[in-house]
Amino acid sequence: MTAKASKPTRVGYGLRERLLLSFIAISAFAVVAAVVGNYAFYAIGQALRQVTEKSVPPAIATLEFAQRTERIVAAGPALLAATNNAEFAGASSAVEQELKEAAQLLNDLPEKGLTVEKLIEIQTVFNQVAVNLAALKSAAQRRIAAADRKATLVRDTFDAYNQFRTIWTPKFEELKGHILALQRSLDAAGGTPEERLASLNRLNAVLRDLTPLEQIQQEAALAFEALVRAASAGTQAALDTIQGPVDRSVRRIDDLVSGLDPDVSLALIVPLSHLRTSAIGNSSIMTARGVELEATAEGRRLTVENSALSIQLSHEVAALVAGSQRGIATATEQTQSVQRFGRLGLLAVVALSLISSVLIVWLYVGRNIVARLTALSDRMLTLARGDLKSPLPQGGADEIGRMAEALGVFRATAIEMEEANLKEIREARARLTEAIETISEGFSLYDAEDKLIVCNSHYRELFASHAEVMVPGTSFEAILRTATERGLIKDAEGRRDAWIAERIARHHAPSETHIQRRSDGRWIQVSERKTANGGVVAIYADITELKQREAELAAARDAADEANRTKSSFLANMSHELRTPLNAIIGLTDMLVTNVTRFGTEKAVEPLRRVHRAGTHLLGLINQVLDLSKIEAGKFEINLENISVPPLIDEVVGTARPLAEQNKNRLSVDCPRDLPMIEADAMRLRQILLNLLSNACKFTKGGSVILRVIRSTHEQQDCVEFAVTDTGIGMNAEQMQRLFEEFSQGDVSTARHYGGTGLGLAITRRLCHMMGGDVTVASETGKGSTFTVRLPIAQASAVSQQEISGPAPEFRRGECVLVIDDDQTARDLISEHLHQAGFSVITAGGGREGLRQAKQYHPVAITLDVMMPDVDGWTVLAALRGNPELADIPVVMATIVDECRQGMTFGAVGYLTKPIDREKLVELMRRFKTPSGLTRVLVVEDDPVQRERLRGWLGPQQWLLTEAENGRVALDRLTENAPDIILLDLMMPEMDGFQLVAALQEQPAWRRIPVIVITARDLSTEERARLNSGIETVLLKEQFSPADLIDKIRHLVAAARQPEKVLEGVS
Amino acid sequence: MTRILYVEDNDDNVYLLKMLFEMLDGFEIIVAEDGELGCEKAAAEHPDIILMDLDLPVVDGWEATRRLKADVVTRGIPIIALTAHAMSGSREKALAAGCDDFDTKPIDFDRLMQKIGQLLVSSKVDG
Repeated sequence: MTAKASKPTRVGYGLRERLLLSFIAISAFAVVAAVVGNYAFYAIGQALRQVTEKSVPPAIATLEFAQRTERIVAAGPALLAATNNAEFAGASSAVEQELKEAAQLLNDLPEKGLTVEKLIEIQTVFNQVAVNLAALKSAAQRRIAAADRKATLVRDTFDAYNQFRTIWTPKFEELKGHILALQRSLDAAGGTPEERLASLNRLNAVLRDLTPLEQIQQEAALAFEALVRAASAGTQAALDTIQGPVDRSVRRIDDLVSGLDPDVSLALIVPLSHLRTSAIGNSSIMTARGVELEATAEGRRLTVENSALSIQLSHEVAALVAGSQRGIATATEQTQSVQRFGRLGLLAVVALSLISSVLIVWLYVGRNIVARLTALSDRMLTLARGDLKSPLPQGGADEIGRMAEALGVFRATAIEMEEANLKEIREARARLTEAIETISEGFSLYDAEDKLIVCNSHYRELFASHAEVMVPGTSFEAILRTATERGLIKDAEGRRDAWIAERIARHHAPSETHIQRRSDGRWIQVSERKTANGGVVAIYADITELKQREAELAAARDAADEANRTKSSFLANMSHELRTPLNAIIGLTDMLVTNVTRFGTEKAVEPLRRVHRAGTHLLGLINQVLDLSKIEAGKFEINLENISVPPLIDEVVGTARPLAEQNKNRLSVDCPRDLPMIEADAMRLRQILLNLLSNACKFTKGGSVILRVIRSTHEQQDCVEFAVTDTGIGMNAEQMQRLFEEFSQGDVSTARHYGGTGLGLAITRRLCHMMGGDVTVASETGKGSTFTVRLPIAQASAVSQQEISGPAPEFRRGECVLVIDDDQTARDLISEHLHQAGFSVITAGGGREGLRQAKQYHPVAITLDVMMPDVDGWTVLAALRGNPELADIPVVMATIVDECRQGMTFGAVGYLTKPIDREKLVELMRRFKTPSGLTRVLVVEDDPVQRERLRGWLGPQQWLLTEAENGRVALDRLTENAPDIILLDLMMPEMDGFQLVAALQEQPAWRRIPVIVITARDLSTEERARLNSGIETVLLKEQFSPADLIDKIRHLVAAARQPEKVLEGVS
Repeated sequence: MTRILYVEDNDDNVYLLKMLFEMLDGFEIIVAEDGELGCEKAAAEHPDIILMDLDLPVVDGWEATRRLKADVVTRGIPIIALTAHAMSGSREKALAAGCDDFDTKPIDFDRLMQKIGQLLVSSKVDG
């Protein structure tokens, strides 16, 4: 790397400073704007304050004050108008209140900003008002008092007057009466002159009395009237006018009264005094009235004065208010002017700042900074794109200039790096190529467009003849084309384009490896895989050697299987050979023991018995060995039939009793007589029970052995259980576990003691499974053991019963496929595939159920899972093959394990590996559909009547029937035209059935023809064995129905028409 | 009187051999059913020759032979091993255990007699 670039000297201001200045300039404008704005706000604030604090409050205050004062003033008349104390008090208090408040206001006024002079003026006025008010109040009070007094006096005067009248009226009347009387008397003639004189005197006296009274009365009346006038006199002058006469009147009254009658005058004193009081002096009405008038006048004057004062005050206030208003107006003006100023100022500043910003940005930032930066970044992009040669922009004095210099440095560095990288890449590529070369397989890498990126020489060599084509960049297709044109690939012969298309398709979607055949005989295995970026890696491995080895292995395996088969079939065949001499030994010794006298063998009885026993034992052992080998060879037959239990039990027990007695055991049987029939192989069941009983007897000494038969249920299935219990040595858990394993018998010591190969129990178990049952053991060391055999109850005859009974699925026999698999999913899957292919399907979840279903429905084919928990597939297969009825059904094994060889040996016709390939399954199954084409039947029977019968049954089937009356003729017929199936009678002259079968075996062409033996009698095991390798099924004359026969023929023919071994196709 | 100890668990074999020897004079047969009893009886009865079946319960023939040959009391008694094992190594195995001779079952009586005779002669010679 180059050294760091040196710092260039800087001249003048850099970017930072310039930008800072610009920023400051713009900011300054902002600041100025702010200042202007603030000033405007401040000024407006001031003006407002002026208004609100200085001008307005005083005005308001004084207004209010004026109002109050007015009110006070207005209250004056009310006071004045009060007629009594109560009213006065009310008005007065109201006024007082007003006064107080006004005074308060006045006190507050200085705070509101009034000038002192103004204040003093107002104060003065107000004080005057107050004073006037006080005076008014006193005037009012005086008036009221005076009015009251006057009223009282007037009342008194009235009273006095009334009193006067009360007194003189009667007097008047009295006098008047006197007068009248006197007058009358005078008037009346008669009386004496004395009388008359007296009366006249009297009259005169009375008159003399009366006149003062009258005068008094007049004067009183006058006085009174004058007083009344005085009470309501309007002026003092009037009062004065009234005063004189009233005085005179009172004086006259006084004079008069003194001249009166004393009693009268006494009476008149009181009212007179009252009158006097009212009329004269300071307490007179006139005085009172005068006071009243005076007070009223005073009051009025005061009121007027107050009004004037009030007006004055109003003026003052108005002036104040005006002043305030002026102040407000001034302030408003000020505000407006400030506002105007502020707005203008602000606008100006903003405009200036905008202009300056624009100038700065445009001129400086844009032209100077941005332009240079853009130029620089363009250069950088160019550099980044790889153009290291492009010229760089000039530097400059500021930071951008420094950037430009740095860019220069970067470019230099980049150029260096590129060179270094290129070198590294070259080296890496070389290493990679080397590495790829060392791979022993052909290696090629294609990109996402199928162009060759890299390959090694092995790959090239594979396409050796045109290595020139194999350069990077060539397309895959081109390579293929060249290869096929030069005929390198055998698979492509004759179908070049199709092969290429296939190959390309596989190339694009690589999944499994595939194998190519080369025309030079090589086998190439191609594995392809997609890489992360859409390319394809292909590896070509030469597996020719591998294939060879595979073939060798296959051959070896075949050979081994063949050997195994040979061995097994040899063993099976040997059964006859091995048993024959034993027959002699057992038979002859038996005869010699039974007929001692005849043969004179009394002395020899003991040795003969021993020989017999040893022979029988040997026979049993041989049978076991052969049974096991037959099981292995898949040729173990069981002959299921409906058996009645009690008689079989009797038989078995009879045979077992001597064994029990040998070891001093007590044998007892518990078997109810009403047991249902079971479906089993009678011979095998006997074998099993005998085996168990003999074991029990062997392992027990001096104990008891019990055979108990009971009916029970197991997994919803009715069955019969046979339990053999002994009180022998028993077994521990470990021994029990090993019990059923082949070739073990408890442990070595037990074996030594009791002999035997220990095959018995293993065979027993197999047999039980094949018959659809099971054997279980319970035991305790030292206490004994119980072996229980469980077999199913016979279903009523499977064929016809099933066709009649309702709820079964609507299959006719042979039209469906049976799927046996313990896994629900697998069953569903296979069923689905088969349904789609047009098959009907029945399913079974286990071996036992499968066997039942097979018997019931006789499917046209069976798929059989190998791994099943209850009974494994091989056992089921063996059971199927062993059952003559079911042996013809083709069985396809489904397994995840590659055990195809085993399956073929056992008699399966094909196998499929899981996961099941739908197409393969269907293809296999398709072969098993009912056959078409004409069926040729050869009937070999010496009895013409029987032949006739058969003809009758089979004719309607429209099969081609050929007849032969013995084996020899049959062979001729065979030579002419091989039939599809042979119906064979065993007992015939010239060449019997057995011989014919043997002959058939010799010809490969005839070996595969299925043969149905129809015979009148039971076949012994040996006879069955003789027919074993050629026979598909055996029927007895009395027991089969035409329908049975026809069905059997059909199935056997169909089975025979399949290719012999169906292998899974190689991909 | 030649006294033969026959160590054999199978009753029929015992019966047969006993009968055969009894038909010839001069032989007495002592029987033991297992290897353990065989050793005991050999020590107690001191027979002239021992016929040892190899498949015996409790203690098998090979082991019994070894014991007998190890015990000073019984070391001198010749032992013929009898077995049904037909495999090739059986003979070598028996001889390795210490048997003086070996014969297979089923017994060929004449052959057996020959072997017995040879062993008796040689033992008498050895004393």
